[in-house]
Amino acid sequence: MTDPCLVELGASVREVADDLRELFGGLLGTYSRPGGAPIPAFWVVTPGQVRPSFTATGIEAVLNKAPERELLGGVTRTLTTMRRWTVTFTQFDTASDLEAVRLLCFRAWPTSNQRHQPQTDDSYERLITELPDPILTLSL
Amino acid sequence: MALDAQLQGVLDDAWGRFSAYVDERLTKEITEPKWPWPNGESPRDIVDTGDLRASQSMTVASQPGTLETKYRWSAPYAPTVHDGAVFKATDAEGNARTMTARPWTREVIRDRVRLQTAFKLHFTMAAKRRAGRLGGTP
Repeated sequence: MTDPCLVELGASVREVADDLRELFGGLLGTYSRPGGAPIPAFWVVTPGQVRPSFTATGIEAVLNKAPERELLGGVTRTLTTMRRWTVTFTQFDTASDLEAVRLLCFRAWPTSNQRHQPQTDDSYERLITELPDPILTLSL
Repeated sequence: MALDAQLQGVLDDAWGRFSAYVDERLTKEITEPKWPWPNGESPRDIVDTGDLRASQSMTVASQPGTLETKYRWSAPYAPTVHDGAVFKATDAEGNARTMTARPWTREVIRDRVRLQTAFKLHFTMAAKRRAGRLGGTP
């Protein structure tokens, strides 16, 4: 008898990151690194990771590498889990906003949760989005 | 008493108590020393002046056919504490200052199994109380 084999059907962090780059690539700003060329302001962060010393301009997108999980239910040998990938957009250009990002998110993931922080005198505008990613886990 | 009215009475009773249970859990999340913090004591609670915790309120807004409770934190900085922030002020190197997110509602809301279990328990107890008042077997 062999050990049960678990197969998880869902997107990998790389696939989610690629989707985000494809969808928002044209909207993203840049990171300026000391002594380096500007790079797109997109960052995949591990929980607890310290923010790099990059100066950002325009819109920054930060994808949390560790999705949240919520067990929805299960039948024999199959579990359905809702994963949620958290992406935080920050608008560093105080003369612009995140409306285009909000609409794109809503079109691509109509059931995503969104929390919006408007720009204040002290802080930049932010949009925290939780992208749904239902997955099946099969026990073979 | 009509069965519908009896059932609604049980639901209202159960939902009110269940809502209070969730309210308590949300407060507990704020006072629990479990939140990583980049400077000094870590993990720590989210209680500084106590204003955030004190600003928590609950409104049961159920109507027949709908069970709904709204939780609110009226402290103006509540969203900043919950979701973090990127400040316009920079540090000596010119990097944006940030505040770490401490999403105290997340675990309570996402723990669906625990919420379902709690509601079932409150519903059963409410049904027993109602049966007792109506002269049935409690």
